[in-house]
Amino acid sequence: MVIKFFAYIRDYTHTKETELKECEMVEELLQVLCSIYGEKFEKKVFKNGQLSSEIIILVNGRHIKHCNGIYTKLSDSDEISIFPVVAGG
Amino acid sequence: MFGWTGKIIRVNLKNRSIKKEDLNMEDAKHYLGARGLGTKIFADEVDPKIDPLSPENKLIFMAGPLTGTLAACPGRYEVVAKAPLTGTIGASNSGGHFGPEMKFAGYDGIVFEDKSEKPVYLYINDDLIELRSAEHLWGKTVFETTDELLKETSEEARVACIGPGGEKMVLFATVMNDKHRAAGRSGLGAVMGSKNLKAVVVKGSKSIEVAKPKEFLDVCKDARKKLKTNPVTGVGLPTYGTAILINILNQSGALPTRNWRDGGYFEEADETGGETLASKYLVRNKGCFGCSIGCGRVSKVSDGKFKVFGEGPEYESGWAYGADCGVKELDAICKANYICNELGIDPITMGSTIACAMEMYEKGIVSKEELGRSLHFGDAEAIVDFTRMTGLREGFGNKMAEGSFRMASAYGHPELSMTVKKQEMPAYDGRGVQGMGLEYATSNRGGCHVRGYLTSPEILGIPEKLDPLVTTDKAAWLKTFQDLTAVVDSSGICLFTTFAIGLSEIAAMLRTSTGIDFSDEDVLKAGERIWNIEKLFNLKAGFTKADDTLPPRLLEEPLPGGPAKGKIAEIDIMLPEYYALRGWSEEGIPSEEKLKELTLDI
Repeated sequence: MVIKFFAYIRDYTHTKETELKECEMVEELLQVLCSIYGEKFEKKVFKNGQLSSEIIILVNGRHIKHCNGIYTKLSDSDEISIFPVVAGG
Repeated sequence: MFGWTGKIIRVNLKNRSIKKEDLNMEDAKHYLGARGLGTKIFADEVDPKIDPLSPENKLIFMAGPLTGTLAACPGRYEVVAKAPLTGTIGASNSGGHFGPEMKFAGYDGIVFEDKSEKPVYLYINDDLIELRSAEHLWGKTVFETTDELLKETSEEARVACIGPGGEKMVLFATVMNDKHRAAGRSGLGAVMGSKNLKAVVVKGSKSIEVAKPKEFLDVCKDARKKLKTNPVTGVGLPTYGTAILINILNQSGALPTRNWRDGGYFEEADETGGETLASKYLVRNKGCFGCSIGCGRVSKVSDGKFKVFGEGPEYESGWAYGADCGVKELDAICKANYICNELGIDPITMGSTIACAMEMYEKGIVSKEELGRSLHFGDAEAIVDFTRMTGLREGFGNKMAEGSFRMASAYGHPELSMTVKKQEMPAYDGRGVQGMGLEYATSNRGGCHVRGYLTSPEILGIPEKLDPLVTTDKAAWLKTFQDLTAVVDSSGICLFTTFAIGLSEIAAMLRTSTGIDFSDEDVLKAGERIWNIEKLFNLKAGFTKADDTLPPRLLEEPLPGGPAKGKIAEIDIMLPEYYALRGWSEEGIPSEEKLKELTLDI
């Protein structure tokens, strides 16, 4: 699966995207990403053990809130996008 | 007088009379200021059926009770007239420093009537108000005009003016203030041009009184703290500007691509987004008067054929010239955006009109000979060239200057124009963001995103996350957003504050500044009243339910890919619900009960 990073999340990952395999669901993927990118990334993604409200995760363009949250199942052909909460207009 | 200054200026451009009038405080209480009060004055005085470019149109500059105060982001004012692009009520909001300066000079607003025989500008320095010749400025760009006027008046003055776009009555010409800030949509700059009014220059030295200084300061501090600590207004917007949205809309499959023909995903979007702008061309961020956000971009392309130093681009202009034209070169987008500001034209309509022409060219509807060149999607030089030609009405630019609807209709293909009420829709595909489709269809000034920004809940999750693909509850959310936005625009603060604060903070700022004991409900009711007076104007101008719709492409061509694959904009489901919630008939006409409730029946 391809994981794409945006806005200041890129400051923590130092890359725009990466590829991973065999993560069954979003929760596992995030844990793997935290182990790769370290504490700053983890602090942005999780607050008090819960998914931070300041993070937006899309799986194939769908916000995980409209799927099954961090329990959304993943396959190797999926594209996951990770954003901090942003706005504009 | 608290909050408001209590005075407006009335200028008759034909007989050159200048009068100071007392503000009608009953109207101020009911319509707040800026967009609301400007529209109330306009609707009371102008026949909705007039030609927008005739002397019968009036042009109103109006600040709000919070403009220029210590409130959160209080740099806004509104320009109101009947709009030449749409034929609807036109109300365009702008930031910068012009609005506050008008208040410092002692005025809530200026009403311009009729037409000057020769080019003039209005100079205001506190109690001194005079019309001066602008013949030496006619033909000059926005930047040249501003520099020259500051030189001949005062370096401390603030200038709102038109460029060649307004003079030549490009139907989407802007009123520009402080050089790069625009009352951007619907062509109000063309109204200014039709009146031979080149500029308004204002310098003020007075202060704005508030009713309860200590309480006002406390609520403003609270609002500002919320803005500072909010991740959107405290970090995202200052760091990346509005163009931060390019990637999230693209990844959500809702960034309209190549005149909305190719769905909501542009392969090269990242190259045109806020992250790339920040890393390649951003010099610094910039805020309007009293702003703690600073979403403005001072940007510089240092070399190459698109070398430029200016401000922007914003999300909308970045999209219109980028994904919508299939152009990935951000330097060309910066340049085209700069030319819009220089000549005083709206980059949303401009970029979308070029995108429409690109599709017409690729379909063989308009020829290379007529265009003077080829015009394929992705042509970076074309967006720059046609923007300049349009602002100056040269060559095919003269046809583009009428906007995409009139341009495409002249060739028998209005369906290729991505407009609502002849105004180009902005950068959110109503097939992938259903509430935004309803917003475009019902906006009182045609295709527009800042009248009820449902992207906020549908894509960004603010204040809570709604599913963008469903129609459920969208009508109710939209009504609330439209009414609250009318309040924000009419108060004189920036709409971006609403990413961090809401009705209660805004109502508290209004109460403590004006001394009027508005409840939160009173304030929201004022927003609803403003929405309805705009609607009534449009109905009297001849608009009907048939105009509350979207281009056929959004209603008939399903999105080809992405999360919204197969979706069309389901306006037929949402519109009846919306009318009912508004207290309007099935034909979209406000009921007598509703008008009575809003005191609009008098």
